[in-house]
Amino acid sequence: MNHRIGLELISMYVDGRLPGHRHNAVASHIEGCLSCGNTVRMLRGYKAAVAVLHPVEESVTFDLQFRDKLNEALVARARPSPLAVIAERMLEDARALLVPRVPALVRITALVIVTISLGIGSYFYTSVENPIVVAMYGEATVSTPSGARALQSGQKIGPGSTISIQEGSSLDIEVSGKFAIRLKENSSVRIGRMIPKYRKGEVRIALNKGKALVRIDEGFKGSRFFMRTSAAEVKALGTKFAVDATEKLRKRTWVGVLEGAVEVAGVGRSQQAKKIVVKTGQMTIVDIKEGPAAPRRLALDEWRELEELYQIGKKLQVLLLVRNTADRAMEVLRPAPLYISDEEKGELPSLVKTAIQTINQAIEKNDINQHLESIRLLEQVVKEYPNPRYDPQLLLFIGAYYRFIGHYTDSIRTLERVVEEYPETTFASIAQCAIGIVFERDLKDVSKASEAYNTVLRNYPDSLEAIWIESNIKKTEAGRLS
Amino acid sequence: MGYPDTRGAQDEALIERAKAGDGQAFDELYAKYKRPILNFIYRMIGNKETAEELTQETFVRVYMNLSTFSPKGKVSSWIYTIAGNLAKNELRDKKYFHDIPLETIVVNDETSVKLSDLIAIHKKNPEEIAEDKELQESIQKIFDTIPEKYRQVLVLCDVQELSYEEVASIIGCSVGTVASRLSRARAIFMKRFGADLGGAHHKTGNDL
Repeated sequence: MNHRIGLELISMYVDGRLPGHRHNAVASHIEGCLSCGNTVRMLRGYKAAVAVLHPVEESVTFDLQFRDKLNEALVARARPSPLAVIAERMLEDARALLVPRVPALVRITALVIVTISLGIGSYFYTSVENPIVVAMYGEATVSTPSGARALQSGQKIGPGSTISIQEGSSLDIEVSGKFAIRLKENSSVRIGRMIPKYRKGEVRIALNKGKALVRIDEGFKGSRFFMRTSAAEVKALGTKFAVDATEKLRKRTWVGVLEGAVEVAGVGRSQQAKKIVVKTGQMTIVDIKEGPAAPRRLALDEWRELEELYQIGKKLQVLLLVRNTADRAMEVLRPAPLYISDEEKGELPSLVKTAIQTINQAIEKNDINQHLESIRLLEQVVKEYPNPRYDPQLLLFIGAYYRFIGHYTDSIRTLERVVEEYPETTFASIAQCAIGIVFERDLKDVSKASEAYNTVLRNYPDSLEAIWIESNIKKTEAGRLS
Repeated sequence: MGYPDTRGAQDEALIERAKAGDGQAFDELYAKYKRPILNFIYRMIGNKETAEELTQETFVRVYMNLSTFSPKGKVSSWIYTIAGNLAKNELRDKKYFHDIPLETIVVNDETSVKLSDLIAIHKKNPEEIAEDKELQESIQKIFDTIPEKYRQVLVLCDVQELSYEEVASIIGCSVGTVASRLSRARAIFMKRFGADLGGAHHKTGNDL
């Protein structure tokens, strides 16, 4: 038997790559050669196995990440590199230095100074302000090209990092004075672009999955903030908002706005032209195929979720969470447990801490004596730690608290303090309207209620409470007519 | 695996439209090739997360270099070439690949059993093969040990099922070199599986 047949020939034979005569020759050889026949069988078996290897499927956020990378590349291409800018400046400075005929030592010294200045300048030009972890509740990891590690409070997070929040955990990150983000459990975000320390710029963050609450601060003015999901791109227009891209939404993204407004667009090229603005108290759902739906008013439970935005970072949280809806006076009269972040506990007077603990226990046990003790402690806080920023909110809370436990007269007395002592604040119209509600619904005193409502219409005609009262009057009249 | 028709005329039209600023055309090209490229890179480096990053980088480069694409070449070859270069750089940078001498036979009792499966495999139903998870994992593990230049040909020819001509265009060599590397690559693969395709009585010549 002639065994002078190479593996390459058999390999090509199996692939059907041999011309007719050679193919036939190899075929007839194989028929009589057990070894070569075995090789052909093995090769065919191998080909069959690799041909049905499971194809790998891209992850859900693959397209989103690609578009982010493409955007970054396009922006980078459009902008001259910092080195090019520095080189050009150096060239200009060098030209200027060469013009006057000055001693070499002076020229060299000048050039060194210019170079150092440009170096420092380029540092400030290019250095980026990275967000810092300001509060951690549970566990989170950060992944960078060098690997993944557990996140800790106070840690900086650079562009290109991906943060993953574990189940039951949450994380607050912040660029002080510019923006803050709370990432909820099972979320994953990729930090894209960050703004330079000493210039305005653009922040880009990809919410791969999960939920993020965003607060844009005063210092961010002039810069742009974008958050992308697999379905939507959300651009902040000076605001507090939340983006929900959790799996329960099935490739859709929920966007809700607590304050200010956001511009929302779909991420598909065909959808990018379809942009909507979602304003305070509104929400939208963005479908991956159809783009953003028309905005609609937030439901009560959505409001409640959004109010968590007030808890981000280190801000003192002894305050009433006032909604910006026309019926906010009604909401004020439903007290909720006060919130205080772990980060703040050490900085608060012990009396405040005791008051908060007592309120939470009282609500949990529904114990009237504990409720009264809570109110007493809160009144003591207002008395011993006067603060014009928090006092009207605390008084509103106390007024609502009295109503909650059925002490209506005390409730009205406390609400009147807000109207009298803080007439220039937004809380005055809320308190005045709340007085009317207590008279109307709890004390059934229509006359006093009407008087309180008319005071709102007269003294605060542009307030949300005035809108709410007028709307109720219209409804009542329509009811009478029908 | 349903890989795209790479005859090219349609792709060239898409490239021309994309060059002229038609975003939809680029989207079509991206949608058509993203999965084949992802699978190609994945089989090359054996790590899905990195494969995704490199696939994204491939298409960023395609987009950024649309103007440099020459109509003389095939679009698919161009994209595969970019992807292949990125995968090779990754393998070299990250030391995924530790060259194992060809003489080393990776075989143990378990793989010997699988070898008999492999030999008999061409008689099996394709669904049955696809469901054999252990076999699929073994195949990828062996891919990971094959020297890069052979692995690339193996993946392009046998997994991606591209023609010798197209593979030659992607890696920049002759069709003869592709045939030669492919047979060598298959021999390495089988040797890693414990089978010696180039057995003692087989010479390297092609006389017949």
